[in-house]
Amino acid sequence: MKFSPLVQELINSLKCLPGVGAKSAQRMAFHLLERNRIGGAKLAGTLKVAMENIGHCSQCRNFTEDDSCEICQSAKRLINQQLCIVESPGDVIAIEQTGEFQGRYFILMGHLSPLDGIGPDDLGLDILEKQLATNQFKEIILATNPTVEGEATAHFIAELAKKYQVVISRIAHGVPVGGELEYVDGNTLSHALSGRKSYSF
Amino acid sequence: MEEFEQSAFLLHSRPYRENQILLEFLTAHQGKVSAISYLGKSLKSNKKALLQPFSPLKIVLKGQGNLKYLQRVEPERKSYQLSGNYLYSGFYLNELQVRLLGEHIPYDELFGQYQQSIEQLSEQRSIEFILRNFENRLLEELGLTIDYSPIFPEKIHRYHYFPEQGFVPVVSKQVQTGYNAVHLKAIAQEDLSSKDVMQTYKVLMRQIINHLLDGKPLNSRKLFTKNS
Repeated sequence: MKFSPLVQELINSLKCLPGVGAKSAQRMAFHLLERNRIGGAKLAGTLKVAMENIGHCSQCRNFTEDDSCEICQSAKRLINQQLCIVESPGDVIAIEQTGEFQGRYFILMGHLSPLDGIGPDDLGLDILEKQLATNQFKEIILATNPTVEGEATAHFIAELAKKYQVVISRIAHGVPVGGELEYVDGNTLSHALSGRKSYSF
Repeated sequence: MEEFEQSAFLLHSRPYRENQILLEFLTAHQGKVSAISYLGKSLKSNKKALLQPFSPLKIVLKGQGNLKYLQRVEPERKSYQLSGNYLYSGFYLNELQVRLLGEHIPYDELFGQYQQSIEQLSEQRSIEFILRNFENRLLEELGLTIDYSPIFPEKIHRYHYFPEQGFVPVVSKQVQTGYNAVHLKAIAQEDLSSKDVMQTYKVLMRQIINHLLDGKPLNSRKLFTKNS
């Protein structure tokens, strides 16, 4: 049996979502058509507006529909001369939720991965370098993921920032809270040991 | 079926579907192998920490087809810590292998050479020597040995190198084309002490490898040029 052309097109379009194959797409399409037309129409409207209007913040490269995002516009964060460099917008949310960091962010939207063809030019490092050149930051915090590619990215940026007057720091990595040493892998554990801190009372 | 455990290095990985990862290994006995693995969601699962490049692994692969399933993975030793240009060089070695090696062809000597190269990179020895040694071995394993014999008998100062043809004397009067014969002789005799010889060796290797890649650029090279 074949679906009518429009139904088939809806199913095919839904397959562009991550983790959605032919069967899930079909189920989603039927659900929207049969049970949730209003939700479906709303999704279509939002999707259209979002796709047309959302761009990257001119300063931190986060997704925003304005020229610069809320964090970059905040005067309080401007005073705090710290810049945290992360791989994805999700990382920003994670760090924001801790409430520990009051500075601004720079989002790479990925990490250096030569084998996937992602080089320095794809991470917006030219924008980053321009910002560093204005000397508005006292410290940059390299918060890329603790993977081999993340380390490579951190090192690359550190080399780039070396010639400017900034403190360069790397987030610590070690044993997770609530974790058990017994089950932590050797690499993490050796990082935790080599990066140990003197006990502060 | 009996379990077959072998040493391996991860060359490259990329996410696949929701919770899987597509891996490319260089194994001790089966050459380059692709495999998929599920990533556990539990906090106790440390597969992701294990499956990093430059870390000596013991793996067990399952499956009949070309794409294997990673049944078990354990660390063999502590992973090698590379940083800066040494790390970029490691990426370069990985990219060369991902791009040039065929799957499931056992390259006998390559695994040992790779392990040795990574170890030397972690000890921060001279990058040039390590890379040239590895490239040389890689080309040999691909069935491409450079024949230096034509350059010895004659008294010609410069040679061109053409893939499939080998060294051909430079006929034109221009001085700067081709490779310096003295340098080539030094390379043939593995006398790599001079900087100029190493430079010639690098250009020669680059020409041969670029030919093998059909002129498509290697991305890891970009990492070097930016900062140095």
